[in-house]
Amino acid sequence: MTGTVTQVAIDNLPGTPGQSLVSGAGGIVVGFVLALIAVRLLLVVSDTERGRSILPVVDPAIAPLLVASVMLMVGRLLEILPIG
Amino acid sequence: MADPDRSSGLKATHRSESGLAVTPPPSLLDLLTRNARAHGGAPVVLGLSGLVLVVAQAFVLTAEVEAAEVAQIVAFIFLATAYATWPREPERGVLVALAMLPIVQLLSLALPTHLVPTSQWFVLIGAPTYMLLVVVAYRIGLRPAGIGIRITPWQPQVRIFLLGAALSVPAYLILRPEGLVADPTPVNVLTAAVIVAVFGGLLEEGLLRGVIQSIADRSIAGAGVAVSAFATGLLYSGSRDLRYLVFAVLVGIVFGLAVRRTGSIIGVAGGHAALLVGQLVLLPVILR
Repeated sequence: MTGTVTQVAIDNLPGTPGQSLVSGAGGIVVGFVLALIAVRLLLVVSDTERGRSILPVVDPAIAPLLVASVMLMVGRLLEILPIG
Repeated sequence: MADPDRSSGLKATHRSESGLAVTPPPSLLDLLTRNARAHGGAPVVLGLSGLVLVVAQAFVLTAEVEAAEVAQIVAFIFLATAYATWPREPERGVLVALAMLPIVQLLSLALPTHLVPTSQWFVLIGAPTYMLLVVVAYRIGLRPAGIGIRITPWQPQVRIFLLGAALSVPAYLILRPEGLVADPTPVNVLTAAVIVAVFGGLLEEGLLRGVIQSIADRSIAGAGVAVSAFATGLLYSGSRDLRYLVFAVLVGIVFGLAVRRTGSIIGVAGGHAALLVGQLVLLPVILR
C-alpha cells in the first residue's frame, strides 16, 4: 500500500471487537507515551546538560503519540459501547 | 570545573565498604560509542542505527503486533540514547531524523481499526504524523524553505508530477491492490483521492524528502538521498512485496535526486500524490 497504511496493518487487523479488545497494541502505545512524559519531566527537573540534550528527540515523539493515545481510547470506547 | 554529566561512568571509581576500588560497568552504548569514535566515528554510529531500525522492522514483518511495537520502542530508545551520547553536532541531526521512523511505525501499527474503512486509516495515521513532522522541523530549526516548500521554475515540477502520475501504472501492476472505494460514485472517488493525496503523497514527501533528506543533507554532505531512500525502503517494506519494495526505493532515489536538483519538494509531493491516487483509487476503479 503506502509507507503508513501497510499490508502488515491489514493482515494484523483484529477480526472482531472482542479480538481488538484483548489486543495489547493500543495499550503499549499509551504506556509508552506515559513513560515518555515521565522521562521528559525527570529530564527537566534534573536540569543537566545531557538531560536537556535529549529533549529534541523526546519532544517530537510525545505530541503525535499523545494524539494517537486519545484516538485509541476513543476507538476502544466505540468498540465497548455496543457490547455493553 | 569538570562537568559530572559528561563522565561516562568508567572513571567514576569509588571505595566499597571492604575498601576495594569498585568501577561501575560501562553501559553497552557507551562502549559502542567509544569504539565508534576510535574507528572513525560517524559511519559506525549511523550504520549501527540503520541496523537497529532494520532489525526492528524485521519484527514488524514477522512477529505479532505487540512484539513489533516493543521492537520499535527499543529502536527509538536506542536512537535517543545515541543522540544524547554522540557528541558531534552535524551527525546528531540524522539520529533525530531516523528517530521519527519508529514513531511512524508505532502509529501505523496501533491506529488501524475495523471501525472505519481503510481509506480513513490515512487520516488516522496521517494527522499525528503531520504533527510529528512539524514538531521535528521546529525543534531542528527547519523553516518551510529548508524543507523544500518554495516556488521554483514550474516546468521541472510539472515534469516530476507527470512522471509520478505515469509511475502509478507500474505501481498498480506490481501490487494489484484492492480499491479503496467500495462504491465508486464520483463523490466517493473524489473524497478518497483527496485523502490519499493529502495524507499519503504529500505527507510522505514532507517526511521523507522534506524533513529526513534535508536534515541528512545538512548533517552529512551528499548523504541525504541515501538516507531518505533507506527510510522509504524501511516504511514500504510493510507492503510485504519485494518487487514493490525495490520499486519504492528506486522511486525514492529518483524523487530525492529531483529535490536536490530543483531545491523544491512541490513537484515530488504532487508526483507522489498522483502516483498513490492512480494506484490506489483510480486504476482499481477503472480496471475492476
